[in-house]
Amino acid sequence: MYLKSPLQSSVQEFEDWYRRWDPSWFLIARLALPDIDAEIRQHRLENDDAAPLKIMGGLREAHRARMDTNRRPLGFLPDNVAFYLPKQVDLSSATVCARSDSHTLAILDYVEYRPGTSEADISNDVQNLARVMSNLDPLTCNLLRCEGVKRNNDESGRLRGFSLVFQMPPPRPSKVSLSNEHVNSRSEDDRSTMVSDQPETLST
Amino acid sequence: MNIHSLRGSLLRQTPGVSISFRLAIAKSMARAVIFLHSASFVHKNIRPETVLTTESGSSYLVGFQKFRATASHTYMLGDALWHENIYRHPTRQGVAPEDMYTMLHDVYSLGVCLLEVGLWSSFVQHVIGPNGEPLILPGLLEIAAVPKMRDERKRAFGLKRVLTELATSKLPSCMGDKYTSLVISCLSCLDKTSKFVNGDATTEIVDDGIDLGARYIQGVLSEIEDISM
Repeated sequence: MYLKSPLQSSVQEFEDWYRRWDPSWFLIARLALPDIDAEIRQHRLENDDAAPLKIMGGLREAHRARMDTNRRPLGFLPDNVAFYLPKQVDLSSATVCARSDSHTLAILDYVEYRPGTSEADISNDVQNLARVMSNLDPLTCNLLRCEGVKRNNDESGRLRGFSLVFQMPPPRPSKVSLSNEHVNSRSEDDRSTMVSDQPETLST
Repeated sequence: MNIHSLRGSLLRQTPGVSISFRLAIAKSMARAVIFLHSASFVHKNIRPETVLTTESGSSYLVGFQKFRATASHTYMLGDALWHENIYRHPTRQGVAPEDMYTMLHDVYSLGVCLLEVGLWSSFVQHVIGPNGEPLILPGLLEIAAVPKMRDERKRAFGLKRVLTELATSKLPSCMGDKYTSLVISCLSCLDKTSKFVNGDATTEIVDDGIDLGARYIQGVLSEIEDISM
């Protein structure tokens, strides 16, 4: 009898919590069962790639990419891979440039190394991030696909930071038109970066 | 293909930017954050300068200068740049932030960006000074009007209050009630009354982030994906 009130209160709290957060969503995203992936694929085909299923598929992909340490890590790019014709995307830290080895366009993004922090930790984190981002679908996840990491050293060989090398955004069938905004702004295109209509390859 | 930063797009303030476009940008930003969190990383630098947009209506999260794995050590480092601090939760502003960084701090930053996207107005202006030097100035009048206080913490919370008031007063007419509610949820995600934080916020700070990430997935994503124009 003395316990009844606290117990009722606990049950009520649990019910409130469960109503706010449905843990099944979270569990499905993380369960390592191929049947779930097959079911999601089937439903996406039947339901015109409905957003929740697309996202669930992406979440499973992201979680798998993070957990699967057997996947080949993205090693550092060799020193002889250079990036030329850099053009900074205005008001952003990202730079569009061309790879010397493949002559394709890429987006470079910088990860800073703060002296006094652990070089091993950041190196490990950067490689893990690159590995995960190399395995995600940019159209689903809105994260660019990573092609590798370049280590940036100063003249004395000390670590200054890293460059993450991303593929250009993939072309996407346009459901939402941005044309108004961008057509209107092309004449004053000082804040944009124009790249080829064939973004994957640099014409030489 | 045109690639812009979201800041560049906001600063052009083209009147033709549709609500559907704003919503598409908002959804893709939320997705990027969710997938990053799902892979156990925090971004720590979400603002319009770290989002790239394309003319096909997609946006991509970049700007990984400060990211870290959720399991990695946090160094409690910050800086005093006002134009970056406005995207940081009050407890993460300044050179010596008082809280360890969690996924919910990313959610707060996302909320500030979603407010900007919804209003389609830049909180930060980049102008050229009288001697040709680049200047960074507050954009919206309300942001500039945050009173200068000696106590940085009070000022930081004052800014959060201004952002929340801005969302409450101006966002419904631009983006509707659902979007407004979502933005306010993000801005209040670390409040004790938040639906993302169950009970004592301090216990959540030491969480490994998985529970927080899951609530975020449930809360923000399902709400934003529900919105259609």
